[in-house]
Amino acid sequence: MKYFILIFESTHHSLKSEKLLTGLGIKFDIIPTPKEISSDCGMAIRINPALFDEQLVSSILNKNNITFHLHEKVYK
Amino acid sequence: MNIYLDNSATSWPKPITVIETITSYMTDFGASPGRSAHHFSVKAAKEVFETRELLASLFNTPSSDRVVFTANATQAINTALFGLLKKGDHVITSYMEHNSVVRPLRHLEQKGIIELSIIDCDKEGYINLEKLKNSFRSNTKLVVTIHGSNVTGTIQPIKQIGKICKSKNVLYMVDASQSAGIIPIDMQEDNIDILAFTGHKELYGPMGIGGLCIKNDIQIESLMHGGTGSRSESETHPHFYPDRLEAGTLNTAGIIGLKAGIQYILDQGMNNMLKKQLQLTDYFYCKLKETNDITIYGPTRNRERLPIISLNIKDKMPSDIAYTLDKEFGIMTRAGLHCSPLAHKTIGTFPHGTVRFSMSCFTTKEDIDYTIDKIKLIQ
Repeated sequence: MKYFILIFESTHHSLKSEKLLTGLGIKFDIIPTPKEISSDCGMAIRINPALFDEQLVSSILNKNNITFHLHEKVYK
Repeated sequence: MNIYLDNSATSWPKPITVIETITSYMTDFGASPGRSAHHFSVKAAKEVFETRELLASLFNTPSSDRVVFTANATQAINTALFGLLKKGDHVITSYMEHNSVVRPLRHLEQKGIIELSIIDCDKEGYINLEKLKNSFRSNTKLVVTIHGSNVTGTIQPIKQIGKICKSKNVLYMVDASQSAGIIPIDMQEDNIDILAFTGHKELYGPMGIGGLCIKNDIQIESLMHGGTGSRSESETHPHFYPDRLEAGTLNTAGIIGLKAGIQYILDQGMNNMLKKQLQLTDYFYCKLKETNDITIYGPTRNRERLPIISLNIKDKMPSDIAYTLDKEFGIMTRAGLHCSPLAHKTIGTFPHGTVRFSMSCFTTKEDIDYTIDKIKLIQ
């Protein structure tokens, strides 16, 4: 199954994003950053594509000056 | 009998929740924050994150990623001064500063890196704002002042100083070691660019934790380079906050204790705590004023102050008074210069200093009555 993976430059931004997205009622997991994607901070956010509203997520994170990179990963 | 009146050195006792939360972290999930993504590490990282959020909200720091942890206020101040100042910069500070500000600035001056102006303060410890205004030069980069004096309890007009600095387009750093947690501080309203704090005094955390709160557009060079848990592929230190100024594993137990300390203040209500402590300080002040041969330094009665009384008794050395109070009566105070020789020069008590009685939210009227009795006995 394919997931969206959000990668952040710092742990602080990962956790700030977690707080902001939780506040919006978005469901997601905190996972170790997949090493094939990035060696940035150790924590990433994984979201089920069915629950992912990119515009909403981008807008709240941008508003809080959080830069993130969006990746996809297929889990077998 | 133990009467602890040395809260300006470090507050004691601590709220029980501070001790409990530190114990709980070390017993139940003592992992390294932000270094792994297992659930203990995530839980520890969340505690650190929430502490930054709490501090940012307490001081109205524009962004919580600009709350950087250090070991104490001294390290925070050194980090800011050495990371910010470049050759040829001019710095303005005051005669009420602690050595944590004076010594790094004197060092930079003696190395030929900065020019330094130290502004006079009056007998009550207040900075001379006119002299401050006239001290700016074309190369003035930074003004640094203490907020609340550890010697006299004098509270500097930081809002007015911040306004002056803003009008001159010069950065303003405040040393809030004594005031953070007791006197409200609003970085945006007060035009503070950099705020240095310590966790173990009026914020009721443990020793070994302090920090800097920094406004968004200020880039401080790191003195330390090392592991951050981020950008691990890079052989150079990351440039983004807070990692930029935090190399190596953080004092997570200290941070968690600090969070509990701040939570305690918020639960009690900062205004209530301040009011209670100021009433007690005023009571202490008035009782001492009734006695002869005692000189109290710092602000006069009707002016706002920290819960600190600094005094001398005629014909007695402060060190002897403090020794007798402790040895005979169990009253713990601090005598001498309080790491602030310039402040003592300002109030005319250099080189012998004063005896300082510093209260906390746990000090009671009974403690003060007992102390007043014993001071009278020593006279």
